[in-house]
Amino acid sequence: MSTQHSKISWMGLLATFGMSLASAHTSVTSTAPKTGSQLDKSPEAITITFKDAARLTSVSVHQEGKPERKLTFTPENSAAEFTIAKPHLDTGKSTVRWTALSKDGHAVKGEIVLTVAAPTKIN
Amino acid sequence: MLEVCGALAQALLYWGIASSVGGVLASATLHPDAGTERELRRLVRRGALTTLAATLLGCLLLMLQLSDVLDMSILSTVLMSNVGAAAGLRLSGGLLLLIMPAAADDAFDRGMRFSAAALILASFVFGGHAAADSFWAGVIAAIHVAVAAWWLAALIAMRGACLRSAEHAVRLVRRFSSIAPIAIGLLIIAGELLVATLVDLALTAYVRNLSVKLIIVGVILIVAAYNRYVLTERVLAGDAGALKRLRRAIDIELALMVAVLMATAIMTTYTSPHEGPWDAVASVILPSLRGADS
Repeated sequence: MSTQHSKISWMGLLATFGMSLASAHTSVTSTAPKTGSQLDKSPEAITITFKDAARLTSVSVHQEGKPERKLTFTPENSAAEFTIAKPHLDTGKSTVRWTALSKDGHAVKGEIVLTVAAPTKIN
Repeated sequence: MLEVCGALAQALLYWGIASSVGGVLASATLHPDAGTERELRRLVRRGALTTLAATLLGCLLLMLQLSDVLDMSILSTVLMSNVGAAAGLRLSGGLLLLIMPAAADDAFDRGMRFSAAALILASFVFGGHAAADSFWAGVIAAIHVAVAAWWLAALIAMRGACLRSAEHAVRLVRRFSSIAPIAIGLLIIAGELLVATLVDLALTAYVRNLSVKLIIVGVILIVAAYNRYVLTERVLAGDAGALKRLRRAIDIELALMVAVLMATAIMTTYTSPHEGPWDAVASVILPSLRGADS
């Protein structure tokens, strides 16, 4: 009887390990420019739109061989859409990484990969 | 790594809330003997301490997830959010339960204990997946947690009574059996309302995790029905052997309840009812694929 009891208990505990660990909460519905965009020059602004209101807590740009650079954004309080004005992306591939606090209280992260083309020489 | 620690902190928080709130409710409803009352008071104090520690740890881990630097800006972001409001209520309720004299038992003390438990339960109205959906979903979640907590604490009290005295155990089992059908019915209705309110019929990671939780809950209900309709009847009829079997069956229920708490912690840490079926793919798998490309 007690062996059966422990079997049932262990089955219950083991079942929890079969759970999905894909982390995803309040998500981004769109960004402008879209991730993967090829741009002629650095965009005037980057906007991030969430499905629900969230609080953006950090945005930074990463480029190979260069130190990470923090970007400022508006608004600073809870909103569904955030704007990063004049991100000044250098030529080449840049990864803009953001972190936000979702309305259900979780840290959500994402990134936007943008490539700025080198200026063409005019003869 | 931070998310794994976050899930553990969340499981610890659920255990702390279930012990502290459940202990207060079980003490008020089961009319326990002096020994069981002492055990419930200890459960409440340990639960309150666990709630305090897990709340602070959860907030710290969230801040570390949100920013590389722990500064006033990130602290105020968390404190001014729903998470901050829920944490404030849990800390207030937990502290109140912890500073209450263990032996105090007049009407004022009982009122204070109830108020403290209500503060902790109110945190579910302000923070969490249900609260993010609507005020009423938060209220239903608080009711769901209150009944589940009562159930867990009542099982701990009955387990202790089974070990101490057959007479006290029988009295406690009789009292529990008269309340349990209504309480568990309320728990199931609140759970169903939450699922109906929060969950879309899409195969999201949240729904998969919820299914695991519901399977374990189903097993608990089967064990609980066996306890109630077979073992309890034998215990009340004076079968001494049945009391030992009931204690073992309570151990199973408690182990399965721990599994439910862990399942809920994993479900609420890693997934959300507010994500669409493809959000997990978009936020986790696609960045990984991009990383593999470069």
